[in-house]
Amino acid sequence: MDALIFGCTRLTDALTAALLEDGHRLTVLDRDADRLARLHQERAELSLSILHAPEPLMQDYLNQGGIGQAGAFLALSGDDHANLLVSQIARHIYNIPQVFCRLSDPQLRDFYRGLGLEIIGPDADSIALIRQRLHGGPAEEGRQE
Amino acid sequence: MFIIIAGCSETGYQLARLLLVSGHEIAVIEQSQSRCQLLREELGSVAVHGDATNPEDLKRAGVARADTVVALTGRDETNLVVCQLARQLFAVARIAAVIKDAKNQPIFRLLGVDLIVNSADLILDSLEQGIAEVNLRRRLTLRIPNTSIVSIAVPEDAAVVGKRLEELQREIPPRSFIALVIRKDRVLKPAALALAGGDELFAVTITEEEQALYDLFTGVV
Repeated sequence: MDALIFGCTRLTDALTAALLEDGHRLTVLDRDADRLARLHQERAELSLSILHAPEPLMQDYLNQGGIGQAGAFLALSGDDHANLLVSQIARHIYNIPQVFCRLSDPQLRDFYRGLGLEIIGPDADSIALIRQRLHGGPAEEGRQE
Repeated sequence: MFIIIAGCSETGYQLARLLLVSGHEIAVIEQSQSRCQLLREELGSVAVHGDATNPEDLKRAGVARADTVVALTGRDETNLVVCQLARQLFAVARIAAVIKDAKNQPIFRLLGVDLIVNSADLILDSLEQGIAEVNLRRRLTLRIPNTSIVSIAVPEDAAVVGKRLEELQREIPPRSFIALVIRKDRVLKPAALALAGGDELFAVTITEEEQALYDLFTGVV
């Protein structure tokens, strides 16, 4: 499946490894060109694209990254508020079936879980959960695509 | 009325003073300690030092009995969190936000923000009044992604002057269409109309096609 990832963080790094292994095509979007270049160097694979989004006006870049066609959207940046804005755009404007939003503020986590957003933390449990939800985890190999 | 202003830069400060003068009760929440100190000297005890995206700080400012919350933090993403907390957690009746990116308007509207002010559009509107040769204006951003209503002024010497819109149908970008034409304060149906200089076309279009549309109707032979 095509997944768009907002934010190039350590979690992104670990997660892209897992999701590429599961056969997904990923586009990673970030404001920091250096972090993107590092990720790209480490995982030079055809099914991984990077997209540099230098300006705070996010929506043009989400479009460029193919948000309209994505089967999953993951907001993994270190900025809780930015993650919330883009993941709610993904969910409510683009109706993307699977949306995951990383939050570090526990109060915001509770609140947005209550609103029905799929909230994840920056830990390894989240990776297992996402793999499972995208139906590409090791247990189900061969079913996807 | 009791109004909470979340984020108090210059605009927030001016708004706070206006509201106080008009006899309203206000509270402002400001994250910067030094800025908050300054606000206390100017406005009195209504300035609360805190983070407007923290429910506890909102409570300290009195959100439970607020009639209106205005999100003015200067970041669209932060303003959205303030608005959602105020509405969903504290059931504030009226929520307003200032946003910088016009494309964020649909998500703010969809999530229940009552009044959305787009600062860039306001500034552009004012600038356009005083600067000639701005032929394309974005009038309304629709809820459909990337889609808006724009107006294009046809110059007197444009190549399309004298042509009927039906003739131009094949040159109009695929996801755009001309909805109406305004000529000398009259609204006209576009189909069979021959274009004249000074006509203002209102078109539904997507961001990617704006340039092509503009070029088509303003290009000179």
